[in-house]
Amino acid sequence: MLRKKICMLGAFAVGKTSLVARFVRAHSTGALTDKYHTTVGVKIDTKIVDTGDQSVSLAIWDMAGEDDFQKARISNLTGAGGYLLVADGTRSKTLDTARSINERVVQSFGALPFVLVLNKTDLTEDWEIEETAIRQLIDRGWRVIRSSARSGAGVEEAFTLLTQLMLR
Amino acid sequence: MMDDFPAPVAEFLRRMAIDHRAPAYLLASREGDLLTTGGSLDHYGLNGLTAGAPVEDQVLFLFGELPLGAESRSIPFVQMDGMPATDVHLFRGDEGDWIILLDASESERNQQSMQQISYDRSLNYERLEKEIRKKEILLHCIVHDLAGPLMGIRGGFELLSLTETLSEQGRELVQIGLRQSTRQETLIREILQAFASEIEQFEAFSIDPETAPDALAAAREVIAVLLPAFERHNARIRLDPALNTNAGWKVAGEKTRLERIYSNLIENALRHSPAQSTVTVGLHDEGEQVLVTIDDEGPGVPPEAGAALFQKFSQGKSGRGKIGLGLYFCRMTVEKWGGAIGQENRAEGGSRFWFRLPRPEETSEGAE
Repeated sequence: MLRKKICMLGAFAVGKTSLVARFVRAHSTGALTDKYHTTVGVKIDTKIVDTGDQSVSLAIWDMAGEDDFQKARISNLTGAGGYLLVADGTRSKTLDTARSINERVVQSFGALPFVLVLNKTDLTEDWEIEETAIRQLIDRGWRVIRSSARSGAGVEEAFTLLTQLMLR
Repeated sequence: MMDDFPAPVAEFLRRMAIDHRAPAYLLASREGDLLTTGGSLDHYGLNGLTAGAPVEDQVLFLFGELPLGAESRSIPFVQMDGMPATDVHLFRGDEGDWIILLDASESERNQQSMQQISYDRSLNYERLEKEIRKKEILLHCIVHDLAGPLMGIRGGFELLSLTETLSEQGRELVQIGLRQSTRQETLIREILQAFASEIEQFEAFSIDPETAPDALAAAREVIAVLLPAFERHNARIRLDPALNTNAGWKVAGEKTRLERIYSNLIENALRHSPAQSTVTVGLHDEGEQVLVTIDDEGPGVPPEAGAALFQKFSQGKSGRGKIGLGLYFCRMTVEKWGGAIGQENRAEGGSRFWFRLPRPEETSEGAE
C-alpha cells in the first residue's frame, strides 16, 4: 500500500490534535472533550484513507502549535508529501500565523500540496475570519475547507482532499 | 569528548544517561535497510525488528527520514501509542545512518504543564479582550440611542425660549434646560467619536496625493474657527511665523478628522494657557513625514501624568479636561493613519503636543 507522511501545522490551540483525533479515532472514542490539551513535540498517528481510486496509509505528524516565542519546527516536514495548515476561525490572527508558516515551508521545501483548514465552524457566534480574506486565498489557488473537530464536519473531507492532491 | 573527563565523571554521565534516558540505537545502511540495533529498544516498543529490511517499514516515525542528508537532525518529544515521549537523534557515520533514541517523558511532562498554563492564560486573555470589544460596541449603540431623544428635547426648549408669554422664571428654567441638553449632547458626541475610531477600524482615509488633506489648510481652518474662543480668554493663537507656507503639506488622512485632531489639541492648549499667552501651531518637513506641533505657554504636564495623557478617560490632574476622550480620539486616529502622537514639556516652559503623519505615497520622495 502506498504510504505518505503528512504534517499538521498552525498556531497553538487551533484544534490540530482534535482534528487528528476526530479523523483517526472518531468511530471508536465518540465525542471529543472540550478541554484544551497542548501538544509538545510531535504526536504521530496512522490512518488508511480510501480516495476511491486508491488506498493510502497516512503517517500523520501532529506538531506543536506556533506561538510568539516558539516557531513551528519546519524541519519536521522532511519526507512529508503534504500538510494541513490549520487556523481557528474564531481567532483571526491564527490565519496570519498560518500564512507565515506556509511561507517558511515554501522557502524550505518548495511548493508541497496543502489544504487550509478553518476549524471551529460550530462556534458561529464567535467567528472572526472574514469571507473576503478567505476569498483572496482561494483566488491565489489555496484549497480551503471549513471544519469542526467537535461535530466532525469537514474533517474527513480535509484529509481526503490532501491525499488526493498528493496523488496527483 | 568523554576522554576529556576524569573517569568517575565520565562514568557518572554514562550511568545517568543509561539509568534515566533508556538509550537505544539503530544503524541503517545508506539504502535505508536495518543493519543493527542495540540498547533498550523494548522500552520504545520496538521489538522484533528485522535486519536487512527497510527501517522505515518497521519504525513509523522514521518514515521519510532516511537516508540522511549531510547534516545531523534531532526530533524532540516524538510521541506515539505504546511509546514514551522520545528524543530522536539522527546522524551520519562511516557505517551508515545512526538513530539514537532517548526517553524524554519527564521533560515532556514538565514542558507540557508549563506550556499548558501559558497557553491557557493567553487564550483567557484573548477571550477577555473579545468580551471587552463586544461590550464597547454595545455601549456605543446605547450611547447612540441616547442621543436621538436628546435632540428632540433641545429642539423643544429652543421653541419654548422663543415663546414671549413665558414668565421670567420660566425663561430661566428653559435656559437651564437648553444648557444642560447642549452639554449632554457634547458629552455624547465625544464618547461616540472615541468609540467610533475604535470600532470603524477600516474607515476610509486617503493616501492619494490628489485627495489627501492639506495639513496647513486644516490648521488655518481650525485656527479661524477657534480665534473667537482665544479672544474671549485673552490669549493668542498663531501659525509659526517661520513656517514655509509655500511648501506642500499634504498628509495621509481625512480632512474632517484631521481638523478634529487639530481642534482637540488646540482647545486642550487653550484650556491650559494663561491670559496673555500664545499658542503656536507649527508644521515641520521631515522628508517622508510631516510633524505638526502645538506649543503653549502653560504649566506643562507633570512627568507622571504624561504616559496616561492619550489613554481613554484621561483628564490630567487638574481635571480641566472634558471627559478625557479628546486626546484618546487623536491617538487612535493618528495611529490608524500610520502616524504617531505625543507630548513633551518645552525647555522654555509650556507644553508641546505633536503628531506626525506620513505624506501621501506618491509624493513621499518629492515632498518639498
